[in-house]
Amino acid sequence: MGKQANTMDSSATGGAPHILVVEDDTGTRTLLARFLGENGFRATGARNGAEMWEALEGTAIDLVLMDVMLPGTSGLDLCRTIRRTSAVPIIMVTARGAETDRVLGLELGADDYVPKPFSRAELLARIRAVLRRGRGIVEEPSSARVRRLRFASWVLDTARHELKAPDGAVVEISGAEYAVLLAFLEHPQRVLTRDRVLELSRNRIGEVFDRSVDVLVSRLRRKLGAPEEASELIKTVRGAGYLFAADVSRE
Amino acid sequence: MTGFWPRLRAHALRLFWPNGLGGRTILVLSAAVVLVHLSTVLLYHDGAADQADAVFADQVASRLATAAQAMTETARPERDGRAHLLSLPDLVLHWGDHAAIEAPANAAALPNFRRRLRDLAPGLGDVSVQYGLAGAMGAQAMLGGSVRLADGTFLNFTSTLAGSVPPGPVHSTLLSTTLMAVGVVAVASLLLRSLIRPLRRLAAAADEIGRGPEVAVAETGPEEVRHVAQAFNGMQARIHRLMRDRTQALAAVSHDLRTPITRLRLRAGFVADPEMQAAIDADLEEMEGMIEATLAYLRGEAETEPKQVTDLAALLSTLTDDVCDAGGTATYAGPNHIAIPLHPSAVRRAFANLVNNAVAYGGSAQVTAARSGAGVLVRVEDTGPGIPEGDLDRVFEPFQRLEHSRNRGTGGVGLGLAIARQAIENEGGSVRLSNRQQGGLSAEVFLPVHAPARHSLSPGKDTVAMSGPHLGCSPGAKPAGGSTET
Repeated sequence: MGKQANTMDSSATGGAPHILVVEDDTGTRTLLARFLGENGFRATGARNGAEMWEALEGTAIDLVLMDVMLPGTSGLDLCRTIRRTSAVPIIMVTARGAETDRVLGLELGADDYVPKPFSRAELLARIRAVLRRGRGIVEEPSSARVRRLRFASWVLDTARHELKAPDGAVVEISGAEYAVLLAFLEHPQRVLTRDRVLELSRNRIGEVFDRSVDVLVSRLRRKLGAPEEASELIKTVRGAGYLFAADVSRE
Repeated sequence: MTGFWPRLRAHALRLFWPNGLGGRTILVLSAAVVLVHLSTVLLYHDGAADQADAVFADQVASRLATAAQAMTETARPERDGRAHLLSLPDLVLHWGDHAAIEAPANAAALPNFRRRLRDLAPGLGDVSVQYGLAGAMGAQAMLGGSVRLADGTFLNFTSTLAGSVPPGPVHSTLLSTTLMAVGVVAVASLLLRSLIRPLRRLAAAADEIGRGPEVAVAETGPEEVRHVAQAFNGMQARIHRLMRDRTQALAAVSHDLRTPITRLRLRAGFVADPEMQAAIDADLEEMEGMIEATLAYLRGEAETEPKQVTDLAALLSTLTDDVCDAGGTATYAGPNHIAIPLHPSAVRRAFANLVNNAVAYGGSAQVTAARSGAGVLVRVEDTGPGIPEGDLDRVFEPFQRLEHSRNRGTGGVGLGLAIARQAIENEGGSVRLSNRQQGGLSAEVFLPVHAPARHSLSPGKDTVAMSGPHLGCSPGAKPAGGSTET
């Protein structure tokens, strides 16, 4: 199996999102295609860069799931080359613990990454979130291509998913906290209800939210500095929700 | 009393037998110098005395023979006066009924002198001679003796042998021996230092094997030391190659296991029985944990991640928040912001291991952070059963697990604490485990702040910022913000 890589289309309907799986391990590639097929996607496999280009030219692809460790041209290089001509969503599959691959992939224009070995639920959640976000671009301007957001001497690097304090220290935030903060930064000086914050955040990440917005906001406040300062950044509007009180500049 | 002498000897050895090669060599050399010098002096002294003996015998013996002849020709009452007349400053003569020197105290002394005396005056009886020192500081050699005359009376004499017999041997010998020994010690120390230096370097390098990069020992010094250094370098290279090969093999296997595990993960998705599926997923998760732990440990210092000013407070509170989100109990108390340069991933892994251990074996984790001296002191405490005192150090060893409970949690390979210690020591910090008095285990981590960071560790206002819904998962935990200063 796997000799002809481009014919592993799933049995899904034509309307299903079409995912291109770039993966050199035949077993993994076949299993991924079958798994995605069973979960409502159409999947095509590619063993390497050449087969990937072939597929991208011949078919309408909605998302590329790309392994970083490929023989010949690496996934990172392919990602950079795709970005020169196409905005097709890309999810990088990186080895767990390879921080540089993750950061580099995001900086080269990948939309998200999945550490390998991944759990099935995580993979599906991330694919769905990226696809949702891809559609979102049409609806409203998002920070998808914005590299940095500045507010009150703080910087949120959206490529690296990194928050930097005014003193330059990297402040670790969880995926959910990042999503909530990004929701605020995209709608500064506006009152957002808890439901709206939740909705905006869900579009951002694939993780399942099992914490209330209130808990995430209080965690963010603490990380954003001393209690007095932070409550100035994220204000509670009694009976309505939250308001991000600082000006945000985009780069 | 058995064992007294061996003990005394051991004690004396400790006192006089230096530890170092240099000290021992100098001691042996000095002893040799003293020995050689003393024997030289003795030999020289006897030779010189014999020589003086011959000269002296010619000069003095003839005068004594003459005097003895004169005594026999003189009437008894006038003999002593006659003897005085015959005296010269260097040979004083007396006559008497008794010998001034009773017995030939050193009969063997001056054999030439006595033989010559007998040759010149065959009629003389026994001659006893004594040889000794006189004058200030014993600087002058004196010869005293008695010659037995034919009628049984004695001619006594004393003679100064100025210049003919070597001057007093003991003092000058001591002086010159001391001087020579001092010289030998000085020169030997200088020479020995250059001989011993390569050995010291070798010892230092041997001590470093397996702790860091290869250290080539300079192949200098005397031939034997050079050979040792060469052999050592060869051995070191072989050891490092062996370690590298093993590490690479282990890392390659661990890394390559990810692909089949990924496939198994996907395959598990096609298992119809949900219980079986969950069990397979749990097994795979455990395998992944082992692989990650092994890879993290092997990566260790080779970690390529750059140092970065990081908010330690955010890192710690994210860890405890994660525990809460997963249904566990963990709290963080301390400053809201601690800017400190470190390797974020490695340090996060270290604290994650400590926190997860506390939760897994102690039921909960209370994390506190506070400024301490030139760094930050972080405590991860639990209220569990703790660890037997004897095992507190052992658990840091890689692949060490306590038999009973602590064999899960870090992937089951027994690397969690080893990884934590490796990462923390790589930051120049230290980690220590202790059992708390009130029960439970305490892991104490000190991380030095090398670069002064602005905004960091501002004391006071935000140190005890303990309230907040993020602590909601641990209602029983008590604030510990102010109690961590030691």
